[in-house]
Parts: sequence; C-alpha cells; structure tokens
Amino acid sequence: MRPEAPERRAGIHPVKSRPRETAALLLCLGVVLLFPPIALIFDKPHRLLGIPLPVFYVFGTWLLLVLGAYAVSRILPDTESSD
Amino acid sequence: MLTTDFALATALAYVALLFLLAFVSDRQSRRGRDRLLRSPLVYTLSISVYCTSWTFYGAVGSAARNGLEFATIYLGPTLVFVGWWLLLRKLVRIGHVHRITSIADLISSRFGKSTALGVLVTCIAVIGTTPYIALQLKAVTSSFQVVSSATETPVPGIVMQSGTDAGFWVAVAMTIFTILFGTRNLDANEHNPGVVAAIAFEALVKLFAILAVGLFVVFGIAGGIGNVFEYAPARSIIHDRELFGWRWINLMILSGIAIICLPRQFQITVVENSHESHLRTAAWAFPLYLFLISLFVLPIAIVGLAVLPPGSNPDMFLLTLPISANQDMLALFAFIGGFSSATSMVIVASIALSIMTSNHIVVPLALRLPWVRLDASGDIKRLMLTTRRISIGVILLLGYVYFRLSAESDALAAMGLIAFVGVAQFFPAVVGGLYWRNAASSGAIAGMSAGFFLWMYTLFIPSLSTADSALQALTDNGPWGIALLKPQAMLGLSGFDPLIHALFWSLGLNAALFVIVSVWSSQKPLEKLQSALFVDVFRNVAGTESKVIQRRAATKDLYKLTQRILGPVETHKLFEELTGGQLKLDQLPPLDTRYITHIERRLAGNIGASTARALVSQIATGETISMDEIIKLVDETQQVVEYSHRLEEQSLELHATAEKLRTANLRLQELDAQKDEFLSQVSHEVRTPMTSIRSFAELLLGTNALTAEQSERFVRIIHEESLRLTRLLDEILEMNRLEHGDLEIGFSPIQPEAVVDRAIDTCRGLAERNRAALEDGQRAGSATVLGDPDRLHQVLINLLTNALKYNNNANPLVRIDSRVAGGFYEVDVSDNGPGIREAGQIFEKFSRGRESSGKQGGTGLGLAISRRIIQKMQGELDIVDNGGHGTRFRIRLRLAEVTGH
Repeated sequence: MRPEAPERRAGIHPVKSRPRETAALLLCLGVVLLFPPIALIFDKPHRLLGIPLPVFYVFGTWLLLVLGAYAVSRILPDTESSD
Repeated sequence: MLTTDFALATALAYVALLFLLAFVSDRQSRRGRDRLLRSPLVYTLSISVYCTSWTFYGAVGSAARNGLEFATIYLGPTLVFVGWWLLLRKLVRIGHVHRITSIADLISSRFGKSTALGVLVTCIAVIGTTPYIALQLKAVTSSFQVVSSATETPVPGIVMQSGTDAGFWVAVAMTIFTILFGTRNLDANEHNPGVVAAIAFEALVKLFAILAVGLFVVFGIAGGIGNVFEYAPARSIIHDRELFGWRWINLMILSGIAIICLPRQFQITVVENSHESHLRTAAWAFPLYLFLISLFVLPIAIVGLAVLPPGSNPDMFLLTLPISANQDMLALFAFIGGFSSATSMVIVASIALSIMTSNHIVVPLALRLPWVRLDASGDIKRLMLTTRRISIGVILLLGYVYFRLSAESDALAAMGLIAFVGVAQFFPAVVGGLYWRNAASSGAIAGMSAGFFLWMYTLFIPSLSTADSALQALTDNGPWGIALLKPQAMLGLSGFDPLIHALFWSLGLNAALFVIVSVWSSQKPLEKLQSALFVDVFRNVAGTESKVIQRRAATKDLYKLTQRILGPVETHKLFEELTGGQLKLDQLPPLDTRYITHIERRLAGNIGASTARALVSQIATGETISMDEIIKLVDETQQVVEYSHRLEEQSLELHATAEKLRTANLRLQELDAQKDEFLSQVSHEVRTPMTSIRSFAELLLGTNALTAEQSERFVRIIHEESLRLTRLLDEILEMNRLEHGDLEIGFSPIQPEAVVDRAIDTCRGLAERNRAALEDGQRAGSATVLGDPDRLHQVLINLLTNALKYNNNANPLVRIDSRVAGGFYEVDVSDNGPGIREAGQIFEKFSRGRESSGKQGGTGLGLAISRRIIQKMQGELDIVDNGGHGTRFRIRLRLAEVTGH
C-alpha cells in the first residue's frame, strides 16, 4: 500500500470521484492526438532536434500518454471497491 | 567469427535455460514463494507476448516498406491500456468472478453458456492462429538461415540437412516445454507459474536485444540520432507517402481490437491475471514497453536500407546489420531475441488454443458419445489434460505443416495482420456482451459466422492465392467470373487496401448482424441472467444467480461429478469447505441452490462454463429460472434510481418540516417575548397605583399634623387608586379568561340598536361632565345579530368613554352611527379628538393612544378586551378612516339569519 493513500482519500478528489471520466479523457486525448486530422498538422518535412517532425510527434505523444497513464493510475481509486 | 554451430548451441542453451527457469519457478511457486511471479511487473512483462517475432523482425521490415506506419501496431494497444479503466478492468473482473478460462469461454458464458458459440469461437481462433504460429516458425528458420549463410563453415547436424527444419525442432521443443509447464493444472485460477516466468524472462530478452541492436546501429553505425535521418532512405520512407491516412486509422483500431481479442493476449491479460490491481501498473508499464521496443525500429530500418546492399531482406535487418559490421555477439543476441519472441508466442498461443479445444470441442463431444465412459474419479480431469497435451502437439504440428506448405510463398509475411482481422471478429460479441444487456446469442452467432466467412473470403483465401492457381483465378476474377463478388473488391468496392477492404466488410457485417439479430430475437432466461451478471459485474456480487436459478441435487451425485473433474483431493477440500467440515455424504440433505451454483462455477474454471452447466444439469433436478428475479437483477439500476428519488423526496419533506419547526420556534420566541413584555407591563401598571397608595398611606401614618381635610383627601386618593388597581386586575383576569376561552360569551339573537341606545344613555353623564357633545347620528333602525348584549354594551361603553375621555378638542364631539350593509350590522363611534397615530397597535395590550398622563387612569387593556369580545361574537372591531381628523372605531357584526326563531 502506498503511504499517501489515506490522506488522498480524506477529501473528495475530483479525479477519484470520477474515475471513468478521467480514464476516458486520457483515452480521448490519445485518440484525438494520434488520429487525423490533428496528426496531419505534424506531417511536415521539418526536423526537430534532428528528428523528422512526424516521428518526433508520434513518439512524443506516445511518451505523453505513458506519463499520463502513470499519473492517472496513481490517483484512480482502488479497483476492488468501486465501479 | 559466428558459426552456425555456435548459434545453434546458443539457441539450445537458451531453450534449456527456459526449461530450467520454468522448472525452478514452478517449484518455488508450489512452496509458496511466488511473490515475484505474482507481481505486477511480471504480469506486465508477460503481456508483452504481444510482441512476437513478427514484431521483432517484421516491424523493421514494415518500417523499411511503409515508414512510421509500423507504430500503429503498438499505438492501438497503448490506447487500450491507457483506457484500461473502461474495458480491461471489466474484462478482468468478469474473468475472476466467473472463472473464465478463455475468450471462447467468455463469449459462450456471456451468451447463456452456449455450446455453439464456444465451438465457433474456438474454430475461428484455431484457424486464425495456426498461420500465426507458422509465421513464428518461419521467422526462426529464416533467422537461422541468415546466421548460417553468414558463415563459411559447413553446418553439421540437423540444420545442415535442411535449413527449414529448424522450424520443426523449434516446434518440437516448444511442444515439450508447453506440455511440461503449461498443463500443470486445469483450473483457470491456478496459474502456470513456470510459463509466466519464462514469458516474462523472454520479454526482457527481446527488449534488451532490440535496444542493444538499436543503440549499436544509431551510435555505432550512423554516429548519432541526427545522422540517421540524414540518410537518403529516411526521406523516402517517412515523407514520400500518405502517413496519417486510412491505413493509419484502420491499423490502429485493428491492433487495439487485437490486444483484447487475440486468444494468447486474453490468456495472459485476463486468465493469468492474479490480481486486478496489476492492471494499474500494466496500464502505463505495458505502453512504456511498447514505446521502448519501437524506439529504434525506424532508425534500424533507415540505416539498413542505406548501408546494406540493395535487395537485402528488410525483415532481417536486425541480424544482417550487426553481421555486416562484424558484431557477431550482437547478432547472436538479436537472434536470441527473435527466437525468444517466437517461442513465447508459440507457448502462450498453444496453451490458449489447447484450453479452448479441450473445453469447447473435445470434452463436450466425449460426453455426448455413448461409448465413452467417464464415470470414475478424475476421469474427466485426465481426459482434459490428455486432450490439452495432444491439442498442443496438434496445433504446433498444424502450424508446422502450414509453414512447410507455404514456405515458398511470401504469404506468411502478411499473416500477422490477417490473423488480427480474424480474431477481430470476436470484438462485437465481446464488447456488446460486456455493455449491452440485450445482446443475444443468436446475434453473436450470426455476426461472428458472417464476419468469419467474409474474413476467409476477402482476406485469408486471397493471401494463399500465390501458391495455388485456382485460388489465384478466384481472387482475380471472382467466383464463376462474377466480378461483383471478387474477394478483394466486393460489390465493386475497389481501390482500397485489401486489408482495409476485408476489415470493413467482415467487421462491418459482423457488427451489423450482431446488433440487428440481437434486437429482433429474444433472450433465453439463462442468457438474460448471464447478461445481467456480466454487464453489471461491478454491482452484482458473486453468487447472485443462486437466487435466480432454483434447483436441487443429491450431495452424493454432486460429489461424484466434482470428483470426476477435480479429482479426489480437490473435491474433498471443496466439499469440506462447503459443508463446514462435516462431510458425511449420506446424511447430508440435498445441497441447496447456493452450493450448486458455487460448485458449477468452480467446475467452470476447469472445463468452461457451458460444459460445467451441461454436467451439473444432468444431476440437478427441478431447475427453474425465476424471471422475476432476473428482472429484479436487471432492474437494479431502475431500483437505484427509484431509491435515490425516494431519498430526494424524503429530504424535501425533512426540509419542509424543518422549515415549519423553525417558524414554530420563531412564533414561540415571539410569544415568550410578548409574555415577558406583558409581565413587565403588568408590573409597571400595578406599580403606579401601588406606589401612590403606599406613599399616601405613609403620609397618613407618619404625619400627625394633617388636617382632617387633608386626611380625607389622602384616603380618597388611596381609595381611588385601590379601585383602579382592582379594575386593572379584573381586566387582566378578564383578558386572560378571554384569551383562554374560559369566559362565556353569549351567542344568541339580540337587537344591537337597543344596546347602542342603552350605552348612549349610560354615557350621557360622562359627556356632560366633560362638556362634550354626544351625538346620536344616523341609525340603522332595527337589526338582529348573534351575540351577547351585556358584552356588546361593555364594548360600546369602552369605546364611548375612550372617545369622551381622551378628546382634548375645544368643542369635543362624539357621534354614533349605525347601519346595515351587505349582511353586516355596523356601529361607528367617531370623535373629533387628536386621533391615533399608530392605529395598528392600539388594540395591543397596554397600548394607549398617546402618553398616558395618569389623569385619565386607563389600564391600556380596554381596547384589547373589546376586540377579543367582538371577535368572540364573530365580528370585527377596527379603526377606519375618519376623513383626516379624530378617530372612528367600527364594530362590524354579521346579521343573524331571520328565521321563525
């Protein structure tokens, strides 16, 4: 068990009380960013730090999603007890 | 220099290591030391069985051909895991609660424990997975060939005889491994620790292998990440094609579906999941794994295209790049990485398929054959284990045969995605089953059959066409030359990528039929129950169905049945738990519904829900499924809504009550204040005469020099003050009695005019004394009202005396008028006095028209009493407008109905 869990549970955490929405939000963010038309914005022959823009964009978004999933997984409530 | 011997020895050593690892893990687990094995990290790593050799080698090949598109295969699963809370969590929960053994079991169980669906899903899974296994064997063989062709030395032994035989020996080794470690026990909830340990280990090997090659390629060959994209092929494979187009979208969706529906993924993610909370870690760790494994794919492809001679197979860049740079050990490591990704897929896929074939095809079939006897203890268990072992062998053999048959064509290369589309046919049934109550088994069967047929027709058969001229003709011209039915251009829909074309038709028709047939057909009771249990898995606690299904079975029969499946030891344990340690088979009453349900579920974890139900139904009698209970279960949502509605109403009621209480409390406080005020006023009123009485009495007592005249005056004052005091006390008493209803007021027909006349006569003396004119104005003449003549007289006297006493006009005038109007009799007493400033308060107790000078000696209760009296007679006493000067009091009494009385 994580030591900080009880303090977090003390108040009504907006994310904790709306786990479904929070999870869906991150998923939607991923879908919007990785699907056209947003993705098309970055399909340009530029380079960023030596890396072609679309490659940079896709992998950057990917990493962003991983970090987001990490953050969300830490604040979502216990799966055993809630819907 | 890398030799084939050495590569072969390494591969063998690697396989031996896997065996050792699995063996040790199995032993550790049986001794209860499996904390690491049951950790979220190992769970996450084992999910990476998704990354097969098709990923390992093929991703680079795909990147070399289509650039960034390869990433979609990993981005789809990333999105699914990022959104784990929505789908995967429910899937895993259902897996635990219902002891699901495979994806076929999930679908069959959800749709009323349907045997037909179990068979259908199993067939699709086997047909979709076999080529995939063949693909793994091909990858291993090809990698062997690459390694051996890189050496000049002749290769001794098995590989030497025929390069392709490496696939055979891999298949044999994996069969042995899987049978040894993958069929330890039947129960879905008792995991295979040896297999999980091996898979997790292989996950690390392939990740490190690809990272090692990637780092070497980027920094050893290209000299930095910036340089990689300076190579000429970079531009062509990244920019010179449509990147975020149809294929991008479809592949992403397809891979997202595949991570849920692939039998091996379901096996690892759901069946082998030991704790739901592991998903929490996997939600970010698995996407991270995919990110890392994809990180160097594009650079390796670009450098491979640029550095290696034209015509090199891009699928093998991972091996050929290190070899060309004379990095033999690195190439060996890459080879082992590819080997590990192939073997892990083969192991898990064959376990998943063997569970499905034994649970949904072989055992149901064996139970139906009259000559197969499975009556002895542990019989079914033995049959299941044997079936699973044979299935593993057969599946791998099928894979090998398929691989040999198609080895010459390049059909296998595309097999990965083709298999994805095949298993995607489960998706509508899985998702619909999890979220849609009315999804029916007939819909699932119709949709899945149609989808499967279209998948075969539009994708699978054309993929084989290069090997067979008849199939080629079919693909090119359509059956019997009907162009509209051409597999890759159905109804003339051409111009699409074959994969997207097939995905659209198969999945589209599948989903459409699933929905339409579900809507048009009705669910059987058991199906309705399962639907409620699955859709509301987070709300319905396990065992709810025992309320719905009522049945009885002899304990002895159930015991025997359980023994056939679980074996004697497990059965004894289970029944001891159920009966609370008092296991006497012959003395026990028939087990009730709850236990039967529990046992059936336990058996389902071994042999699948549909077979378990079929077996239990054979010995249970009097089964009824209560529709009412199902409806209750289904309507629980409705109940929750109603309940909250009721709560809301109650809270509103409480709110209203609290409001009333608050008002009542305020009123009480007001009354309390009035009482205090009254008391202080009474004290004050009593005090004034008492003070004067006392002071005059003291004067009389203490002073001897008083004249008789003075004494008489003082005594008279004392007498007057006493009278006033008595009057005050009388009035207080009267007021009190009036307010408490103790004072009787007569209520009979009276002639008020006569009372008015009497009152005028009584007051004439006072008027003369005050030199005031008492004017008898317009009079009603005659009227009858209900009331008390004496009390009315008292009121009139009070009004008249007030009018006379407080009139300070130079020519005081008091006038009385009366009239009959609108069913009322009215008497007005008006004067030309100073008027009353605060007309509203004049009727309050102890209220006086102006500052009491003491001379007039009013008690301040007269008007209050008068008003109470008139009110008691159901009339009104008010001040009305008198044209701006003086005061006009009006008594208003209802006329009595004139009767014969």
